[in-house]
Amino acid sequence: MSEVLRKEVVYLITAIVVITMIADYFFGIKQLNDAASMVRTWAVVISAMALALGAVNLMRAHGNIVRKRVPGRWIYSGVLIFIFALTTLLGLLNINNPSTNPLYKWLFDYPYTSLGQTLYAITGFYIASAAYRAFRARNIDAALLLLAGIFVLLKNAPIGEVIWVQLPVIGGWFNDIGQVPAMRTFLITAAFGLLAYGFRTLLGKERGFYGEVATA
Amino acid sequence: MAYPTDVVGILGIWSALLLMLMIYSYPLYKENPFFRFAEHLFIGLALAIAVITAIQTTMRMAVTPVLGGDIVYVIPIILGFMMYFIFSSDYRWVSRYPIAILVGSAIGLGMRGVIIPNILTQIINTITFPKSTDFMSMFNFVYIALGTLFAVMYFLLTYEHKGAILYPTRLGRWLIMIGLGAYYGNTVLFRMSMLSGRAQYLLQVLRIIPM
Repeated sequence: MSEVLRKEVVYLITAIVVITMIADYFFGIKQLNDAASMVRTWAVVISAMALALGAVNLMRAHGNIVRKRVPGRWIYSGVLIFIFALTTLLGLLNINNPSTNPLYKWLFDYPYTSLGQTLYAITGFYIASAAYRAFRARNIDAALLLLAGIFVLLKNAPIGEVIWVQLPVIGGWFNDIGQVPAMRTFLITAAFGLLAYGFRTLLGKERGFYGEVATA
Repeated sequence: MAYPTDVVGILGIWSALLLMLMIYSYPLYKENPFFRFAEHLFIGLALAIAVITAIQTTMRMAVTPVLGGDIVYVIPIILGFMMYFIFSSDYRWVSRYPIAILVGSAIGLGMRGVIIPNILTQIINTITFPKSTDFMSMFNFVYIALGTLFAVMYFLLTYEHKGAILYPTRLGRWLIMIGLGAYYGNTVLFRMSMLSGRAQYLLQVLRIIPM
């Protein structure tokens, strides 16, 4: 019984939810539509509550570092826990509209926004060196990669038109037409992959997300 | 956004600038205490803001309906709390129930969402004859139609590529390289424009250029 509750019922629930979602799309049955809509809402609520699970886990990890006074690390973990606790508290004080709290709004508008943009933009440094490594014509494959990349770069950079007036036209062709077969292939093959993965899940063969090893 | 005139605003843009420089001290120099401080500050802030947003979502979509008498919404709240059994070695299996709902709905939505836009529409667009019959339109049509076919062959035919499929799959791989090159070129440009945006912010805070 215990094994049934731990495994079989779980696989059955997954299969029922998958079938409900797919059937909802193809059949206009009101009860089915209502059931699918409700399960979607449940999934949103569960995923929102699961996010707090990540917070609990992170706090446990950094709390241990602070408690053990790990040299060179515990101060930063303390900063993380302090700013997390402060921002969460400020947000909870007016949960319906946290931005009415001036300090919360300030933390969001300045440190958070700036750090978010900066950390995203930091990849600019690395992508330049990665481009140097990727754009080396060692064989035909790499040469084609280089060619398309350079034309697209020169299409968008103002210097491209200065070098040769037709460069933006060629770059535009690579951007609009040249990459279409590859992008379409990625879409089609990824869709087939998702369908295959979905059917494996439906049949209870894909169990990795439950913490089990998948079977062939 | 105009240059702030109040103390809070000025303190805000300068703290944002200092934090930005702390982050850039890593790629421009090496890992250092300033970078680690800014990094941990961001993780704490981002996590707190995500948690607040998650609480708002839970309140709006489940708690408020329950308080309004819609008892059925107590089920996702219970399922949400069941996730926390993941920390218990004896009752970890309880967390599989909410995971089953999450995975089932994600895969179900994914499966139904890919059939038409990702497979049918792509195939229709690939084989639809162009309205214009000039040379360039015809060339593009043939390039896309054959190119997509060859590239799909390269991906899906998982046995050894030899004999009749040797050259089509090789051509397919080259077309994938062209696609990846164009995609990578766009990515480089996007990341560089992000970086130049940050440089612009530096000049704006220093009042070298207007905000």
